[in-house]
Amino acid sequence: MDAVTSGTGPFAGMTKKELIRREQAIARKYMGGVPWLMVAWGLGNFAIWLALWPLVMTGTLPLWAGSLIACANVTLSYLPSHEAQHDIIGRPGTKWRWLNQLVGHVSLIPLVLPYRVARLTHYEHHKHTNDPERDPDYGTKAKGPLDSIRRTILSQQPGSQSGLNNYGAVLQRMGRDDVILDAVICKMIFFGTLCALAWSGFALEAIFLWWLPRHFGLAYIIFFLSWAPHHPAEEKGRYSNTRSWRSKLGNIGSLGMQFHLIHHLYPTIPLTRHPAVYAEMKPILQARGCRLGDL
Amino acid sequence: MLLQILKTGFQFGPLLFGLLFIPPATAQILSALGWTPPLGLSPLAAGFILGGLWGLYAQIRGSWISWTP
Repeated sequence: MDAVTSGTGPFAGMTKKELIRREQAIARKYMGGVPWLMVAWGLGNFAIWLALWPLVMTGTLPLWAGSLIACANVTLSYLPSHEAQHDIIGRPGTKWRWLNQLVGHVSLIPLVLPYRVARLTHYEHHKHTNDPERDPDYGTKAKGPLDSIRRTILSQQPGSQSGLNNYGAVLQRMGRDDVILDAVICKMIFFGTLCALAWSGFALEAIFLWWLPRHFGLAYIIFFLSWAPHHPAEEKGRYSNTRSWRSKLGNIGSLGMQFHLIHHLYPTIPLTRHPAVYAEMKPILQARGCRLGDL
Repeated sequence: MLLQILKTGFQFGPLLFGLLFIPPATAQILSALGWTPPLGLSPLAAGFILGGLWGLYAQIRGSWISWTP
């Protein structure tokens, strides 16, 4: 006899086998196709960030305005690459594969995070979510929102062993020294560019168009993509390691992460389809006993 | 080998950042604010002192802003 679920909602008491069959049928409807919005988002966002430099340097755009836009650019830079990391834009061997890789690499430039580093460590996060020893993002665990922001700032310090600073150890454990090289070169180019700009008389532009927005963006991304959907980061099960919640900043303000549970269940469904999947799958998730908050 | 060389260079990252980025940045910030450094120092010299000391602190403590990383 197949196990019977003990959650709530109209599907409570249904066998797990029947639930997974229904769940997969819903998920399949939302998979496939090129998410063009994410492609435009990734490449457009990078183009806007790049355009800020000449606009600010020539005095066409004030530095404060450029800095605000750059903060938004860096904050928005991760998610298009995230779609590429999961091969959503173009699977290997398909005609859009080149676009998948282009978006994956290019969109992350403002964040100074190499695509291969992001991809490999993110896959480890999916495989070992909330595992203190093996989840690369476990270091983002925090008591609450303010503690999360505080820990993110501290994790950016040179001697820290958590946050992005922990990715090197994760890659070493995976035997991917070649990818660590990506990270080292990327960081050298970043700091080298900052120094070159500063000695060329553009230190303020370097600070306010890249250095500061990157810190802001990292804190925002880690808060909404890592801390909030996994808080309190204690459960490891497929249906319990991620939660749904209603964000005070709404779904757009929280970068679509109110429905991050859907992403962990079906990583190849594009981000923009998560709300629809969630609406349809909610009774099943309730029956599974997922943490759905008041969403 | 290359990775080892780069990683070794990175171990001195805070000090390098303090000496290569903070001095011109400090000079340009002082200039933008219209401030003059004390003791007759030039803005760049003030930047080297600030960056050198702050970078050294971050190098030793492992953090720019706290006592422990």
